Amino acid sequence: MTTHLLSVGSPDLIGTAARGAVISAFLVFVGLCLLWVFTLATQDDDPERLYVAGRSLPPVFNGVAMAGEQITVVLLVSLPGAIALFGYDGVSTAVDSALALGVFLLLASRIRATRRYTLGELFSLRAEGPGTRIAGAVVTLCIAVPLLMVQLRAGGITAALLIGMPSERAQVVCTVLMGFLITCFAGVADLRGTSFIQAVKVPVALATLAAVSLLALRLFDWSPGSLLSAAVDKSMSPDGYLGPGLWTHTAGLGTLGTLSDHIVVILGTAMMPHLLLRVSASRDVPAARRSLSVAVGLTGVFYLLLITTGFAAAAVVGGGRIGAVNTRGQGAPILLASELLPQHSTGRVVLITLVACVAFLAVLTAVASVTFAAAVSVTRDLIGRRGRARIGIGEPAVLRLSVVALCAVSLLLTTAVHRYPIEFLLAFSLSLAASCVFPALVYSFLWTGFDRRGLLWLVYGGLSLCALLTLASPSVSGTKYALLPEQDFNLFPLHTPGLVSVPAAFLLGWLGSARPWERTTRHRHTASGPTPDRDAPGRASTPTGAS
Amino acid sequence: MPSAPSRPSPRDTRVLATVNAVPLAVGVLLSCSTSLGEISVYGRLTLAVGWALTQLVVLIGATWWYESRAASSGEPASTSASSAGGAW
Repeated sequence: MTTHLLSVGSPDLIGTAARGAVISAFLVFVGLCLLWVFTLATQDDDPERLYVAGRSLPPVFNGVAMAGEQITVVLLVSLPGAIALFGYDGVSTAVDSALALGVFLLLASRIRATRRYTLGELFSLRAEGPGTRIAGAVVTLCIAVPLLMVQLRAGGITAALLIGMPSERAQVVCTVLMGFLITCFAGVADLRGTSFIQAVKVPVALATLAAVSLLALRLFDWSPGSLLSAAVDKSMSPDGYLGPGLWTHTAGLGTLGTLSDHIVVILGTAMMPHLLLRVSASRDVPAARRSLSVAVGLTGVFYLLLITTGFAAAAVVGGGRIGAVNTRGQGAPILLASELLPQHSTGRVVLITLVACVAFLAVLTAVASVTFAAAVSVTRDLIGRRGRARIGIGEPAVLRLSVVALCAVSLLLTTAVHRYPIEFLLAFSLSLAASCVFPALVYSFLWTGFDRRGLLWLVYGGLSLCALLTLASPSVSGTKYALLPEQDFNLFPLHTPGLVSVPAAFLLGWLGSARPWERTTRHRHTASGPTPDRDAPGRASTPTGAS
Repeated sequence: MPSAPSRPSPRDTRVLATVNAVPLAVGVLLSCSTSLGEISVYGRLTLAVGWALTQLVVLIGATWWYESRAASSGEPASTSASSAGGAW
């Protein structure tokens, strides 16, 4: 496929003069990236070195890589678009995403101290056994697959916009090509390899966003106030742009919907399985905390730059044009980069290429990290040692096969549903992490009475509630932006289930472990005679790894 | 080479949590109330947007303070590491 063919019949998004040069430079970058990736491929068969880099990553390096985990393609292209289109509501989501790392900082030392790095292993803190390990793997997969689908879709849309063909077919082709490249990378890399790419991505992304922000400020005589004023004036709704409630998700649902969104974004982003794996790559507990501190600093700067880029996109491009290219605003960064410098300048080509390269690095690393964490969980929790012995292949081979299978399934699903708006799956993944992982870890670390039954009730109860409430939500039916807009079975009024599912998961965990009804029965039996020991069979276990 | 032994005190952890939780609570309140959030504080900058940016700055500053406190403390590192998770 030549750059000429790629450019045929494309709308003038970045300009026909610049497109050929941009696409050529982008393809060279992709090729160099893949060459580099294959030099990072590992032949190491030691599982500990494969999964957590032998727990040897220096704190600052691991912190930069951890910040890289936050710079995903969805955030990079969607958040500036959301800020450009919906103003404060987009800013609020950005701040919540940053605060999530603060929540993770409070739990990271305890997680690292357990020396466990999959959800199944962490769930086994209070109750060993296949049931808890399988529950961990099921939750990991339910979080990972929808997340992969959304990331692949966002990568495909961005690449299609870049080559100037934002049609459905071009988006699918770009998604599939990008999916193949990423599968190659994910299939050969280990945690150390992905860490190197993450560590390169962070300074490149920050420098690119800083350059875009400074160039935008230059257009407004270096006055942030003028830029903000222009953003308000050129937005789709100047009156309410810098106040809450512009996002269609929050309109008409009141305070409860907003509260639910805050809970889901903060707790869900903090409890992603790939972050748990990443924190375990630190040498020890202080190193893990130091890595998190570095990550919080870098991520905070990233979100500040992303907010500036969003307002700059509204001020320079205008909300109307951004919304016309993509209703979710995913073209905002590329549109902004294409309008900051004169049409025929070399600087413009360089800037657009840089934005495109950062987007490619973001989709490559985000998909590889999530896939890798899910594959580790499949290898260690779902298949287990006995399963591996039965099928007669080693742990590294199972890991590689799991990575390829996960990428293939996600790519297949993304392609199959390309006609539908699947962005709500991101909120679903975050809701699952907030409802199943956060309560389970809090109970595991802080409550000695938490046992196997409580854990299973919490995990499967939270999972079922999230799935049912999302199915019955306005994200799936009954609204113009729903998955099935012509159907109407939305019985649950909130877009995200967190407000109900998180407290319900805590309650289920407590009910399953404390079993207050058994206590009542025991009191009755004590009054009338001896009772059987409720703790004897299948009851709980002493925590083996709680700190 | 292992990291220098350091551990933040529980008091520092409580301070970090409180310093971030209070602005978060105010931020949630502002995001729920259109009339409060749209109050103009400087030029066209509203209270909601100004507060959101403040939250980010507080997060970065508080984390830096927490890390420097932990690094300067002479307490021994946590050694509560236990089994490596095992296999089944």
